[in-house]
Amino acid sequence: MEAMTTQEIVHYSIFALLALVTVGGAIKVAASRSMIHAAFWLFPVFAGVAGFYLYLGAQFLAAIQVLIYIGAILLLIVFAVTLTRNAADTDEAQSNRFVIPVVLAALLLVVALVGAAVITPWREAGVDIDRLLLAPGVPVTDVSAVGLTLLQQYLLPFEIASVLLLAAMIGAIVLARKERRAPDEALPAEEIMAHDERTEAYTELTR
Amino acid sequence: MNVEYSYILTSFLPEIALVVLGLLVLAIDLVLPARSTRRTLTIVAAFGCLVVMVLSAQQWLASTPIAPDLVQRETRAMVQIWQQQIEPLGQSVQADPTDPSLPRVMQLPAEMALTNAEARAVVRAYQQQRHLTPQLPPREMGLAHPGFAAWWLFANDQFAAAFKVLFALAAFLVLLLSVRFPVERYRAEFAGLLIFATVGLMVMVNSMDLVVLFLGLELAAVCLYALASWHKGDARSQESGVKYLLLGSLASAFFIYGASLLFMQYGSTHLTMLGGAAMRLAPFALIGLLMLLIGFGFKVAAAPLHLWAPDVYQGAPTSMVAFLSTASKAAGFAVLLRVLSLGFPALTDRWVLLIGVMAALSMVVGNLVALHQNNVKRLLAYSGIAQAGYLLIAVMAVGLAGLHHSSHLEAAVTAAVLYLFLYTIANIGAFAIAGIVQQESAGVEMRDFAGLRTRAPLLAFGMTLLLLSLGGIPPLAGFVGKWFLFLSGVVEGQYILVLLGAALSVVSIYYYLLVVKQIYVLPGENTAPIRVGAVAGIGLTLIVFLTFLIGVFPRPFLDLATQTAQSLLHF
Repeated sequence: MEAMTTQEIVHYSIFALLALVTVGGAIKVAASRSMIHAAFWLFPVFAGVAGFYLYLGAQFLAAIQVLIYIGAILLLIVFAVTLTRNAADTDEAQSNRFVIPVVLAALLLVVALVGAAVITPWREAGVDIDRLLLAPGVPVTDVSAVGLTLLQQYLLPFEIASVLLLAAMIGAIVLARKERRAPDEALPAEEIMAHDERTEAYTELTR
Repeated sequence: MNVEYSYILTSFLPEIALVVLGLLVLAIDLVLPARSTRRTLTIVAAFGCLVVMVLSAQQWLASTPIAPDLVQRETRAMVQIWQQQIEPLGQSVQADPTDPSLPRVMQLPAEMALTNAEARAVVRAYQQQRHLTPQLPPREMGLAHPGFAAWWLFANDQFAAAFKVLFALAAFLVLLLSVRFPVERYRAEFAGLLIFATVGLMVMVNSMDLVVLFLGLELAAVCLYALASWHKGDARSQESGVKYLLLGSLASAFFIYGASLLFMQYGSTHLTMLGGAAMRLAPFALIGLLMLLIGFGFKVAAAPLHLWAPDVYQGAPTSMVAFLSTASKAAGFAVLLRVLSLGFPALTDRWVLLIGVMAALSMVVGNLVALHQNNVKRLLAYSGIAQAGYLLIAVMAVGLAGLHHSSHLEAAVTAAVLYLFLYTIANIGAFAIAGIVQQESAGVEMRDFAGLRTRAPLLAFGMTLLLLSLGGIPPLAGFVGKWFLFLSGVVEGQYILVLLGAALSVVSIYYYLLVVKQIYVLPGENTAPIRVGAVAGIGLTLIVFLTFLIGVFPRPFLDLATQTAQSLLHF
């Protein structure tokens, strides 16, 4: 086997570093006893994946990864953890009675995926990893290309996505909206009184 | 008008009309006074769906074997570039050897008309060639044109149009029936989301690309998640919504993970490309296909992915369940047929066994567990799981027929299409009547049906007919449907599966008759007469009439289904 060039050494060390950050973070997420620690350990995982995208020349995906996973999802998880339980609680049990079947299922998936990756004839399948990483002049999927593809080739799916977002918004608003009784389904007067009294008593209690 | 946009407008007219209808309903809701109940708006929305059904029916009955002008022009340009720039490089153009139409296409004089299949073959061969020889000019050909891309990403065939008709019909019936039910205060939003869900299902059956398919699937699913938890004060409805959301998202995740594994292996998510590429057996393709099947299995509620169905059906608003258990299931099967027969014909020997196991499990679990149900909605949920099992026999037969190059392929697809139609119609009716009884009796247990004979004679008669049709009793539609389903299994030699199905059908008649016994034999405590209402009455009459008509006069419906199946297979 011929010696690695400097370029190759640099590439492989970047890859190793990113892999270490991503996988190490993932292990800490699973192993942390505190929910809030686990949530924060997601940060290196997401950032590492964003680094991979950048390294592979997919700047757009990297930006989206940072915006959505770090900006939105991670923040949402941290909020959810802090709002629903004692964040400093470290007495969370790390396992329950399903631990053996779950580990077996996870191992099965790992064996299947790693096995598939080993068996697959990558070069014949047209995806040449080495060429993708190391060859100069690799076509870079830049942001403008993504934009053009979205608004030309995928114009119709793009429009479907906008209907999807509208539907999701309407559904969320209806479900989350505070309920007041409609005039045509109004309660009898005494029930409204009782309701108001209860509400007042509750406000008193919580004040 | 620009030729591209006129092509998009004409081929996606039903979808565009439905989106506009949904937006109109939501907009009119804003200007209506807060006090009005919006029942009239729902009825107007329902008849809007009827108009869309007519538009789809036009597409169904029109035959367009010739590719549109735009596509012809671009495809010819593609062939020209190919010939001019590749051949001087000393490379011969390697056409896909499995595609008999291609060499002829390459010699085409410019004025000759291309069929849709020929044009697709050219695009596929061009893209495969580009994959292998990067020297090919990087111009993505017509794909940069929205019109051409719309033709490439969507099937726009009669198979899709047929299911568009079915979904529009289902939305029409469900909206009519929803007038009868309390959907609390958000009637207009209910109608709007139901219409958007219908658009999603239409996109699903029309798509030729797994990514577009996923978009349609999510559009339908997001609307249905919200509709499932529509009754905000009701804990069961909330439970139903949360369960459907969590398990549905998991199924979607499986689907998109499978699609990305397939992309990783073959470099495309387009069914035509996958169909050409899947000749090469690859490990990731098998894992990807398995994950796609998990997604579809959830969508059609086939065992062992059925666990969500009874809880969701029990708690969700009745009109939404009538849509979920029929149109959504039909979309799942239509997509399953298209994806498996176009995308994975080369892996048939792998997926056929899996489908067979799912069919057997669904029939056994659905029918046997239904025996123990006291709640009629749960009973209908398990019966729906069993019906998915019968339908999977036909899907399996499609695979086996394709594997042996048998002439029965068309018959198997026809059987599935016909059964999906009559199952959808009958099940909407059964859920609607169950919902009406639930509303009038404050419960939907078996005993709440007692005395329905005296409370509402027509409703009792309708429910009996629909249940007997679901069970497959001869003069009704269900018998015709099951006959062709089982026949498609028999001609492919699946005797054990068909025997199992036939035996379990007998079991299913037992539990359907348990409901009929309550209706006709047992006296009920509640004797207050039930008023159905004119609007829901129209819907139910139409449903019962169609169920009866298809049963006694199946020929024209069978012919239509055959024509539909042909358009899928000779794509």
